[in-house]
Amino acid sequence: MKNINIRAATLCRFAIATLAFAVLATTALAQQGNLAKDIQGTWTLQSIYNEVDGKKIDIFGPNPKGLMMLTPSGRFTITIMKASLPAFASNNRVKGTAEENQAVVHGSVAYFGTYSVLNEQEKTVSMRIEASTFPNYAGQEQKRVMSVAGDEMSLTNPVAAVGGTNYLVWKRAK
Amino acid sequence: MIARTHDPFRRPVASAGVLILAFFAGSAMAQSLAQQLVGTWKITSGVMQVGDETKLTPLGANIVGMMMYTPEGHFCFTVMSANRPKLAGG
Repeated sequence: MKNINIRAATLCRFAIATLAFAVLATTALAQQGNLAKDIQGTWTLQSIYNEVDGKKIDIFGPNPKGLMMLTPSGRFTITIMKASLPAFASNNRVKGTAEENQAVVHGSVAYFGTYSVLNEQEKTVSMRIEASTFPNYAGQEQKRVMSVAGDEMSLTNPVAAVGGTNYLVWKRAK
Repeated sequence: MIARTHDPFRRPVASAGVLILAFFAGSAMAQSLAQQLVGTWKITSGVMQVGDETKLTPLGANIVGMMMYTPEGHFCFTVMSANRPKLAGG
């Protein structure tokens, strides 16, 4: 009888310890990497505007096109462009006129590299840019603020390639 | 040439799913072309064929690029000449 009681008590203690561990582990898991999980995936651009000294500028015109991919393994690509870039008369990508070339450079940007969450509370993400169509970005490490609500992400870029701050809204691609 | 970066763009799956995936991953032949493309790829070289001639593309010999294919059917492809001059205004 005494043996059974001891066994039951041990079993009970073991069960409580297991339960406590499970609760702790789940809580720890929930606290760690929420942002990293939320931002992963494929995103399409909804809107983007630039702000310098309180002045808003529509840098990519109406209905800008954009795609952003953030992989679970920490790689990213971002491509943003105007909805209507003028087609080249030559129909050859490397034979644009000065005006055509300028329209493409002004109306598009693409870059890729690796990323990681900097600070969960501040929702900051570090982007290490391997290469960019805007060459000055190459090799830079830049900070973004990303906050996800449902299928929408608000992204702030405090070091915009045109100066000032860029404000973007992305929608999770289905 | 495009090389896989060893980090397929995969969503976390249940443990039972991992076993099935691992089983099929063992044989590349069992994967469809669509399944084989899924992932993140880095460009290692790029040339073009003009008639019988193999030439460099206008991007030159030193190129950098990234390509991603997702299981849902989204893709992106970015390739550019490496070491282009910075814009002085930037």
